[in-house]
Amino acid sequence: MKTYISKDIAVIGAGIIGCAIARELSRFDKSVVVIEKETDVGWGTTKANSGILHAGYAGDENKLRFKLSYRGNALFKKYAEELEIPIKNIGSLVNIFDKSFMSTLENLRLQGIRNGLRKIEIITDRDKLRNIEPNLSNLVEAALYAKEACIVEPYGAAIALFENSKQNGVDFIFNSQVTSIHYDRSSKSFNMKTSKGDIRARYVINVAGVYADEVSKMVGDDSYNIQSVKGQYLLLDKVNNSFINSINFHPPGSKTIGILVTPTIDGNIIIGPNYEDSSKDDLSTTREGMGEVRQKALELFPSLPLYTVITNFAGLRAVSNTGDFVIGLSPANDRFINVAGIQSPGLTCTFTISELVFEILKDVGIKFQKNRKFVPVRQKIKRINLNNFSENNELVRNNKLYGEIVCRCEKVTEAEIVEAIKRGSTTVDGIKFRTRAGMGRCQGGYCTFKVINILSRELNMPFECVTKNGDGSYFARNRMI
Amino acid sequence: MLKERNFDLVIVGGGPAGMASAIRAYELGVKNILLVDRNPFLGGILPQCIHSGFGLKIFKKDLTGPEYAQIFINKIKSTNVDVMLDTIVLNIDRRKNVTFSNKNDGIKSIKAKAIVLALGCRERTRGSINMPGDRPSGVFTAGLVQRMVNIEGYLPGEDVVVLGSGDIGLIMARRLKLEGCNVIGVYELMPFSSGLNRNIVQCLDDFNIPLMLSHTVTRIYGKRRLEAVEISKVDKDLNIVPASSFEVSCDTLLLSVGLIPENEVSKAAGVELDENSGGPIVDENLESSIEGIFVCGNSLFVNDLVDNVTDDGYIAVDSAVRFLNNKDDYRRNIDIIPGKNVAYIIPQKISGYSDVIFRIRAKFPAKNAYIEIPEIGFKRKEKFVLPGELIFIKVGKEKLEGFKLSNKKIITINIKESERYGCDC
Amino acid sequence: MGVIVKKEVVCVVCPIGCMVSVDYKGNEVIQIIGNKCKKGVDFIKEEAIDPKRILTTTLSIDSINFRRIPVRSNKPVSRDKILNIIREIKKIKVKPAIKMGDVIAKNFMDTGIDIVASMDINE
Repeated sequence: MKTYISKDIAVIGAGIIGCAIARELSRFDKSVVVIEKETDVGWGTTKANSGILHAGYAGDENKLRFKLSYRGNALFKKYAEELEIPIKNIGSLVNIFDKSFMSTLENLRLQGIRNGLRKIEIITDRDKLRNIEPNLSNLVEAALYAKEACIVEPYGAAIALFENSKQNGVDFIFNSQVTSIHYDRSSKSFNMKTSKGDIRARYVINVAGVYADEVSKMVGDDSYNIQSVKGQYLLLDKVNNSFINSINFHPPGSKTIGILVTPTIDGNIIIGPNYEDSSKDDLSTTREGMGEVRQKALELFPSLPLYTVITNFAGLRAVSNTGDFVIGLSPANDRFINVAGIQSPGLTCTFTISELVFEILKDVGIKFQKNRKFVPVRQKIKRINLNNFSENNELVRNNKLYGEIVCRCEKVTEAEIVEAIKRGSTTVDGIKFRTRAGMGRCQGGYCTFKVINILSRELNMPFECVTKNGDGSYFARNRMI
Repeated sequence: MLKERNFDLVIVGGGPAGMASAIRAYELGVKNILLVDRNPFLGGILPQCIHSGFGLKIFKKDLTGPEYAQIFINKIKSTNVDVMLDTIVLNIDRRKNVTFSNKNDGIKSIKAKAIVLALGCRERTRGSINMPGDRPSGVFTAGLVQRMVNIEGYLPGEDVVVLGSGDIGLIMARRLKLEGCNVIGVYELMPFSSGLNRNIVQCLDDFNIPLMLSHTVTRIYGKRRLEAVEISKVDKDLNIVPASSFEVSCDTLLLSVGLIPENEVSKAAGVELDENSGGPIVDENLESSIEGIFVCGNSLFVNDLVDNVTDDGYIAVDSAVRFLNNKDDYRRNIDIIPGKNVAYIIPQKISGYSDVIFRIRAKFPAKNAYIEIPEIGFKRKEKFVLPGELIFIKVGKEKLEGFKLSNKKIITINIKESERYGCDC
Repeated sequence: MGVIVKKEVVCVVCPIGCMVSVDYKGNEVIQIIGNKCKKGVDFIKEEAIDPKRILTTTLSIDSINFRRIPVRSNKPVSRDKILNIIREIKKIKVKPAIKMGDVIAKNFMDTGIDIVASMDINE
């Protein structure tokens, strides 16, 4: 089926950065299409990272990736409100086990002050540290405490940006991998061949994650290379009495912030990521990797309840050989903008990156007019609130399905699942990322068949055609006679 | 819609434990009884256990799971027990307020004078055993596949590997084979199977499905759908034997790696749990650490036979009725400690004033063993000890007289053996 | 005919699970070796000559709450016939209302056993 689409701007990649760029562009009058090879948004690096908004003290301010993070934190908080992205400000501790690292902490603290952080301090008083983090190892000598650090659901944020972009006129095409790009000089436009058909656009923004360098090469740009670097994670069950309060880092290393231990915004504890070169399609966890993560996490929290691990997964960092973000006009074509190598602190920079990209597009000569129909707010799917019966029963009165609990572990109702389908989810993982159904301690052991039945009913799709995450990932082989 | 707000007895869970409780409560004259279940039907796990082997003890018949359930469903129909289906209990507090949710009532709270927890159990997952690899579809817990096949009517795949030789894994290996799947093999981490011999023969041997002991799945391969698993041999300490790994192509992996008593609601209520059994700490009356809250069925510990679950349902309600009638049951302050080769014992506490039935779960198989309770001088020969077969020991209260006089508060139960059962079978 | 067959069977009457060696000719058992007691002798004989099993499966049913109805053989069936029976049984379509014990197929495939419903499905 050859579909022919022609737009002003094409964004390749619907991860959180791609969706943020799309949303920024949707404020204006140019037609935008986002081309995504997966079935849903955020299924690359976005769905498998630590979910941290760094306070903004780290790094070499000559690097773009650190420069953009300074304002990134504050900007994210601002947008999170209008997009109804849940955020929790819990602070972060960079822990050191050896006084010899004190100067490193001090440098970070000073950098933070220079960047405008107000609540950043070094804590050497053990009691004060225990007050903040009662279960932190006694071997921690001191820690840099940055109160402005936050946790967020990265895929939830991508979904919010996707929904708002769609609402404001952006087109999203899924299951479409770009296989070649041809620039036509006469029409000054790019013709992209995808698995779903041809797409034409005057400008292309390449936000293709670990594959960004391969996309660049399609226009003859080999100015950078992306090495995918895998990080494995373990997720622990929700612990009733708060075992951990803030984001906890190891002493700063050379390549990476190291394996961290942090609560998630949903109440779990996540540990990871380790750091290993991998191939771009390798998202496997390994015994060695998980062992490394466990060991490092125990160094910070010796009594970490590892027996409550409920799942393990891995994500890929897109690391550019330039050691920094690659954001700017491609040297091969000045209508092709690279937004590549978005490794840590990429999530924190989500909105500073999208701002920067917009500025770049303006500089290239695009005359943007305001989109008069732009709606800045988006509402997240209403969930039941166990502390407020009357609010819930109001929900149930309007929609009976709010009384029907499907996922027992996470208390997700049928109403939320149906709404998630209305908002574009066609797979079990899509439902999972929008509603949390299947993310609890039983990992979908009870609710999976229910979710499949609901998808089957709502999308008029046979049970055996419902997939976990797109083509080929069916659950049931066939219906029994 | 539920009209009542106050109940004498609320039973959470309408499986065999809950149904037995409801029927017993009615027979004993309890007035307002509410039985709640999350499914649109009663029976709990039984309707999907279509195989036979149920009721051999209680009914002296070889019944299928659905038949066993139907007998109790029919009995309940003849009572005035209020049955609320498609309803999930969200919370229970110490004062026995029960919060539930369903389409008709929304979220509601009711008050109970006494509660029986009969929530059954859930399955251990891939994540909880830290299995590495990719995350394709096609990896299921055995119970989920049992539901899919027997109730929803869908086959999961074609080429099946089963991890875990407990009964559910064996039963599902047979079920899938009978439905035309290629069941490649059953792999078991331990050097012994925890399933019944009958199931090894009738599920595996009958169909030439290989069973490999001391093997486990060490890696999952598959981009979208499962493509293969890596199997490795383990040594006696359950460490992977180097260079023993091999790959098996398959599209379906069934995990039968353990069951965990379901206790989220119990925890929320503040009921004390036993980390050995995974369920609440109870006394000989099956009463939990909270007065008026009783526990039975797989929610208390994972049972082998549904017949015992039914019996426990009766015991729990006998106690609940005594509680409702303000009959003073003695305080339980003697701790029962699992000793040698014992995984857990129910009850965990006793008063010493009544007869007790100890339900003992062994850790490892043993031949020519004996059960020993040194503090009361009890010893019983047990020719054959299997983890998959619960041991019942009835101790009359006379035997406990002497112990009570000693003022000691701890009783240990050991399984000692003269010979270790290994792979010489 | 006049051939003596040797078979290994596992007795499952008690948890010991003795591995028993059975020699038989036609329908007559000549020798049993390996059993530790006499409790399982009848079972062992049948298991060697003509092992029987209870057959259970599900059939398709068109009802409001259920897509499948569990069914069983009322008596044990020859083990070797089971796969065949299950293949044939699928062709039977069941309609509510059905009660536990209702005969769905009498003397199925001339085996002398009936296939009966395992539960009630009323609508």
